[in-house]
Parts: sequence; structure tokens; C-alpha cells
Amino acid sequence: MLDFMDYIQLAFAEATNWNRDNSYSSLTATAQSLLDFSTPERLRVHLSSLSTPHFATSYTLGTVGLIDGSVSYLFSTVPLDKFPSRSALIPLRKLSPGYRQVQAPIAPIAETILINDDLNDASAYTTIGKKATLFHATLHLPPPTTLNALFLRRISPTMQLSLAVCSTRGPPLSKSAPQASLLAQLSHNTGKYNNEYLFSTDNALFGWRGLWNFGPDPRDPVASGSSPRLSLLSAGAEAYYSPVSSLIGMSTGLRFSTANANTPISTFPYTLTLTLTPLTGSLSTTYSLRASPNLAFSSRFGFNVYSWESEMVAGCELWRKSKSRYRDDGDGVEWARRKIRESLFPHPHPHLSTSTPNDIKDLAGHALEKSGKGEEEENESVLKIRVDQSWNVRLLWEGRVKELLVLIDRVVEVYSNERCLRELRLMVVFNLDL
Amino acid sequence: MAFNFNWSPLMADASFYTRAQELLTAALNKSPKPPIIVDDIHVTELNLGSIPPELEILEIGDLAEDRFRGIFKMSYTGDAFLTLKTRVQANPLNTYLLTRPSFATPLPVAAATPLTIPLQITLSDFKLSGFVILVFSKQKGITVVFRNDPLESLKVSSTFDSIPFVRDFLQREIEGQLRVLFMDELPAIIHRLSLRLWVPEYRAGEEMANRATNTAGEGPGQDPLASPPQDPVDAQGNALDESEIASLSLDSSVETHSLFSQKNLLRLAALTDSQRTLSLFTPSIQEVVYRAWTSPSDAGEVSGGVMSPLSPVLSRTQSQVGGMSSFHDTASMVSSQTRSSTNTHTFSSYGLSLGAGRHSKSNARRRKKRVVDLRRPKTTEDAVSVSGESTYTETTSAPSICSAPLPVVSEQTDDPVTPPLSPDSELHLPTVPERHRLSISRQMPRRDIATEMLRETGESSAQPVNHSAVDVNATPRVAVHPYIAAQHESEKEEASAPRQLPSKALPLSDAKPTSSIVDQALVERLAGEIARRMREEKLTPGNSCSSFWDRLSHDDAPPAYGQ
Repeated sequence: MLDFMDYIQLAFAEATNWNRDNSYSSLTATAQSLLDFSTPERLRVHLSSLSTPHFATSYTLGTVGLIDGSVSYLFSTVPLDKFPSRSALIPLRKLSPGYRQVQAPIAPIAETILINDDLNDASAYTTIGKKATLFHATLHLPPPTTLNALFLRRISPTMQLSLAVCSTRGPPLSKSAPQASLLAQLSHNTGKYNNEYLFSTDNALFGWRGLWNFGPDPRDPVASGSSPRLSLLSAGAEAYYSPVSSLIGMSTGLRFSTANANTPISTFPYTLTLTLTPLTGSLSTTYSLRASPNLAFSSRFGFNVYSWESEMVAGCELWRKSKSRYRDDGDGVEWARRKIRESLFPHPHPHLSTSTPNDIKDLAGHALEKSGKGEEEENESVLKIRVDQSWNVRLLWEGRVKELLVLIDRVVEVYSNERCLRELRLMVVFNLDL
Repeated sequence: MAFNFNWSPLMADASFYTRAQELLTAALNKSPKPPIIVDDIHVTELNLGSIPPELEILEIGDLAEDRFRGIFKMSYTGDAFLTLKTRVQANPLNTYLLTRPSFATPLPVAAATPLTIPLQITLSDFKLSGFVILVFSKQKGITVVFRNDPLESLKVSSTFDSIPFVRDFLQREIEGQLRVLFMDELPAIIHRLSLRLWVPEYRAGEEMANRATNTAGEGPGQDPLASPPQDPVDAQGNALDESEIASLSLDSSVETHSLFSQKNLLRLAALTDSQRTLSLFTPSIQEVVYRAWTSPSDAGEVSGGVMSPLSPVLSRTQSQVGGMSSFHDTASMVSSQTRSSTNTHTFSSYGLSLGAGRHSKSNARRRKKRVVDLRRPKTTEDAVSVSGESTYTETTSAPSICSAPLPVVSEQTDDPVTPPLSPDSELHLPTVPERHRLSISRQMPRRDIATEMLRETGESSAQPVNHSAVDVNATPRVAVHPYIAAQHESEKEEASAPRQLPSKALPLSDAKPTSSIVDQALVERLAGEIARRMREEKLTPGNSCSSFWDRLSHDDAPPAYGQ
């Protein structure tokens, strides 16, 4: 589950029309969210609020042996008040990423605004004018005090600069690890391709990530507008090199995904990825499938040609929508309305990971329907299961109890000698909206 | 003088290698490993080779049949080898990311995929050179301590020899680990191994020592704590480990005493109970003299009884036992040398100065005398040899693995072969004057103590006391050699038992010290007084060598009622 600050950053990306999907980092996002979902560490209470449209705070209190906590602040030049920030209203599908439908890439919206000179979109206008900036800092209180700071700035419609600083007072885990490090990341996204350049002061690590989308160039209105895309094929690579410690690492990847909107009804949306790591000789394939809006499966096979180690992980997520206490549109023609709505409002922000009709409805800006949708979302919950080849089972349940977001995680690891390790973890999230 | 170090029997023992591999594996995995090593380090092969290390004797501190202590200069260029197996992380990016907080790291998609590969490392061509302190005792095994970093070079061959970067890295890491191993872990491993090697004999010797302790009582001549028990317990009966035992000693960890054996405590407890109650059961402890408690005031009477001429024998303290028992054997040995065998008192005093000073077991006394014979003509070299000795104690107490060093403090004067060369020359200065004084005072009582004792028993003569205080510090070891111990015990039993019962005092076989019972009683009374003063002197702070344990020697022993 994303915490509140991650959610706000997601909202910032949405508000500034930054396509996070069009990046090599998110090549295997679907499989990762289905198979490698994070597990909370026992009981942890988050108290967050979006105090003003530009300012958010979050406090965390956790008990891991001894009590620890964190204080977070976030400031954004872009108003974020149009995103629901109350825990009762935040759609759970945004907080708990599941199957992620890859959208067909589009050119950055700011460019089209410049070309068309269309100043109707207020948010896009402010984005350009003020160069949207986000500053976020988290101070983890003892034990060892750690300060995380993030600076995000949209330099241009196609460029984003990100500076991340991590400074800790704890003892380093290895001798070469410094106490503080800064990671600078410059992203260039044109829709057709995406490049990210990274530099870390830790061991002077240089990095590059790139993604190329096959098919017609979205920047060319003639080519992109000719026919709807049925599928999307992307290839990417990443490379890291540190001249100080001779650190080197690289991988390449390939992704094939069905595009959402125009998928024939007979086939399920699915995503296939293949990643290769030539240096260490490992290859990994994932296959993710959405059988229904509420059910998704994913599997991953990994193999290493050098050590002959293999890996098999399977997982699924199941969304349960409990009966709403009242449904204003329970007349059985909701699907028809949805169809009409989709045809009328064909995705002004297609880069967003909108998968369900509810999300589409939300993102279309129907403020009136938002409250009703929030009531509907209130009782949604998700169950994630993951099994690997040694029968380590991990269960995660996320849902809403009253206005609290509750996350229960159960890890069952079965070893060969019949020794079972069970862990029950609980995370409670409560967001204030002042 | 020649020493025969036998290298090959270590290799003949198959279980030795297994055990050594286990210990090495445990030692290698104890310290935190670098993050590149993702599995435990297993020692799969170990061979000490056929070429023994070359040892050059620098200094020998103590030498006996069952113990040895010395400093060597060791150089080794043998064919020993060691093979380790572990698993390492071959993807450096994975290790990089593992050791960093995830916030400011570039989270790669797949470039950090782990690749763990088995790694086999063979360490060979060891080149060692350094100063080794070797302490050997049959009871306490072998303690080997390196005074400096002995590792000169070694050859690390691994599965990554073709990659120079990895090879250099491994060489560096392993050398670092090995230095730690040599300095810290290897002494402990060798000590444990040697203990295990001698366990059966050790236990047998322990049995004999226990019986000997019970037999001879706990006089100053018989330090009951000298025999290290297998199962030391504290007052509550909880088991003690070695460090706790070492911490119990007041001395600065030079002498590591062991506590009472639990078996002995149980037996003694049963014996005490049988006397306090009306129980008719008396536990049978072989070769033991039983004494009866009359009342607590009797204990005070015992010490005061020295003045009373009517109860000289019953008030004899335990130290007298040691002193008297030293009559027997010292007389036989020394008589030829001192030519003063006509005088009983000279015998007694000399025997006291040796026996009570050593307060050693009679079985240990024979080798004492041999040492005395050796060093007799070179008393003037006391200072030099002592300084060397104290240097030695300094070095043995320095390393942390000094689990069971031999008591060294009082053995200094008997060191016949200590060379004047001492590695730590700064230790000469503080030790020389005192030892000189002591060595001077040592000469005196041998002639004067008898007359002085006869003249005034109540007053303390500084010289005998001083002299005894020097020697009393010795905590002799219980010789574990069972036959010798038994032989000496029986011998001593014959000698000392008649003196404890003056009513049937038997004439001594060789020394013939008792012309009459009165003389005998007087001598014993004097010896008791001197022993008491010795104990008092030991408690003075100036005598740094005084042993905490000697205070425990019982000055309030009940009179004997049986045997």
C-alpha cells in the first residue's frame, strides 16, 4: 500500500501530466505490484492530512521492537485539492496498485497546448507558467535518525528533474557506504521514447534508463490519429557504471501489452514482459492477466544461465466490493451508462493508470459523481496472494474499516523441515482532511 | 638441552581434523562477514602438512614433565593448506543496493538481479613468522599466543583466479580475516583442541588430584585450588565458566585458579553434615584424615594454642602439615647439599621454607627439588631471571585468550634456564630491586630461622616472614600424572600422619627429626607460628604476589580424630 506521501506525489504527477508509465522503471510494474507487494512492519499508524492545497503533513508511529516514527512534510506549487485526500474517499485502487493497464503513449500535453494555443486547461497552464515544483522531506526519528528529502521540478513539459537526498546517522552497512548521498535524476519523456539520466554521489554512480515505444509516433498527429492501437510493444534498457568502485550493471527488457480501450471483449487484457540481465546471466519473464476487473493473475519465471537457479512465483489479487449501503444507480443499467460515458469522454488523460470504470469516471472530472463514488469505494477491499516455488505463501488484505484504511498481512513460510513461520502484520492508516 | 616437537601425530588422528574443521568454521563465521559473502563459510579441507614449523627457543620460563612455558620465534613455510567453501554475490550492483538505504538509490528494474555462485578458496603457502608464547600444562592444555601478527604471506587461490580484480579483492579480504584469526581465534581453538585431546587422562588425573587434596588437607603446602576441577561451581552450586573463575582471583589474571570440584564439595558437605548431626554415616574418602569440630571457640583456641605448651600438636595448623610434610622429602634431597642434616631444626626450617613456601603438593615437590638443585649455585642471577619472568607474566596476561596460564609468579626464582634477554626491557627496572631484596632475604633464614624460632616464637622475625612470603605465593600445580601423585601421596601420608598424632609419634625414617615429643611439638608449634605470620604477611598490600587463595588455607583446622 502506498502511504499518503506517495499518493500525494502520484497526484502531483497526475496534476502535472507526467506520464510515469512511459519509463523503463515501470516496465514490470504490474508484476511487481502483484508479486512483490510490500509488507508492512507490524503495527504502524499513519496520521496524514492535506492541510492546504499545497501543503501536506504526515506522521507515522510504529512499533518495531522499540517505538519509532517519522515526520513528513510536502509542499507543492500545484494545488492538489482536487484529489481526494480523506482516507474515506481515497480510492483504494490507487493506494494499492494492482494490475496496471499500460496506456498508449501520448505526446506531453504541454506541447499540444503550445501548438494549439489552447489555454482552457487551467492546470496545464499553471504547470507551464510556474514550473511545478514539489518538495518533500521525511525525518525518521530514532533509531538511527534518517532524513530523506526529495525535490521535484518540471523544467519543461518534457523534462523533469528529481533530486533525492538520504542522510542517515546510523552506522553504514558497508565500509564504502557514505552517510549521505544524493541522487539526481533527469527524465526526458517525449511519448515516443523516454530517457532517464541518473547520477548518485555514492561512489559516483552514473546511470541511464531508456524506453522506446514501437509503433507510430504519438507526436505525429497524422500517424497517431489514424487508427487506435490494439497493443503496445516497448523495449528498454538500463545501465549503471561507477568509475570509483568499478560497479557495473545493466539489463534490457521488452514488454508487450494490450491497450485498454480498444481491446476486443473476447480477450482479457494481459501484459508480457521479458527482462534480461546479460552480466549476471539471468532472464525473467512475467505474464500478467486481468481476468475480470476484480481479478488479476500474474506469474513470473526466472532463470539464471550461470548458476542454474530458477524462480517461480505466482500471485493473484482479488477485489471484493461489498454491498454498498445504498446505491443510487442500482437500476441495472449502470453498464450502459458507463459505455456511454466512455464514448463521450474518451480519456483526456490516457496516460494515467486508470483501469476501472470508476477511475475513469473519477478522472473525467465528474465532481458531482465523486461523492457517490466515494461511498461506493468505501467498502472495497483487496486480497493478494503470492506463492513461490518453495511454498512460501504471503497474504495481504487491504480494506477499509469505518474510515480507517487497514492492511493486514500474513506471511506463511513453509520450510522443508516442516517448520512454519507465521507472521501477522497490521498497518492502520488514517488520513485527516482538514 | 633439546626439545622434541612431534609434528606428525596430529595428522594421524582423524578426529582431530574433523574437530579442527568444526572449530575453524565456527570461528570464521563469528565475525561479521562482508556483504558480498551471502552464506556461511565452511572449512572443507584442512591439512597441516608434513613440514613442521621451525621454532627457535628464545626463552623458557618453566619446565617440568607435565608443563612447559616458553617463548619461541616461529617461522613456517610449510605445505599446510586449507580449503573454504562459501557462496558469494557476484552482482556488485546487488551488494551495492543492499548496503544502502533505498530512498536515494536508483532502483533498477533487473540490473540488480542476484547471482550467487559457490566459491572455493584454497589457502596455501603460508609464510608465518613471529614470536609465539607457548604454555603447556597437562591439565590446562596448550595455550599458544602470538605476540605479533605472524602472517607474512599466503597464497589464495579461488575459482576467480582468472579475474584479477576479484582475486585481489579476495586476497585482501582473506588476509584481513586471517590476521584476526591468528591473533584471536587460533589460540582459543588450539586450547580447546588440546583439552579435548587430553580429556581421558585429564579426568583420571583429576580424580587423583581430588583424592590427594582430601588426603593432605588444605594446608598452605596443599593448595586445594590448584587442581582445576572439571565442573567448577560457585557457592550456590551454579556452574562457572572459565572467565568467572579467572575473575575470582585477586591477582591480575596471572594466576588462574579453579574452584572446588563439585564432587569434592558434595563429599565434604556430607562429611560436615555427618558431624553436625547424629548421623552415623561417614562418607568414605580415601586417604583422608578426619578431624572433629568441638566448638567454634575451639578454632580460636587453635591459633592461640601455639602458646600453650600442653596442646601443641592438637593446635597445629594446616600450614604445619605442609611444613612438616616437607621435612620428609626435602630432607632427603637437601641433606647432601647443605650438610646440615644433624640439626633437626635446620631441617625443619629449610623444609618449611621450601615446602611451606611452595605449599605444594608432595607430588609436585620432587620436581621442585630438582629445580632447586639446579639453581642453587646461581642465586645471584635472581634478578635477571626474575625480570625475564615478570616479562613473561606480562605477556601472558595481555592476550585475551589466556584461558589457563600456569601460575608463574613464584616459580621465578627456580628458573634455571631463563636467559637474561627479555623482550620487554622496560620491565627490568621495577622488578630488579625488589627481587634483589628478596633474594638477599632468602639467604638469611636458612641459617637463622631455626634459632630465631627457638628464641622467640611470638615475635615476628622479618626475614623468615619475608622469605616465606616470597615463596608462599607459589600455587603449585597438582601434578596430574596419576602414578606419581599416588606414590607421593602415600609416601607423604606415611610421613605426615605420625606427626599429627604425637601420642604415637613414629620416628622418621631418614631425617630423624624427632628426638623427643617435646622437641617435635615445639618445632611444630614454631612452624605453625611462622606459617601464620606468612599468611598475615601475604595479606599486606605491598606483597603484590600474594595469592588470594592462600588466605583460604585453613588456620582453624579441627584436631584429627581418625585417619
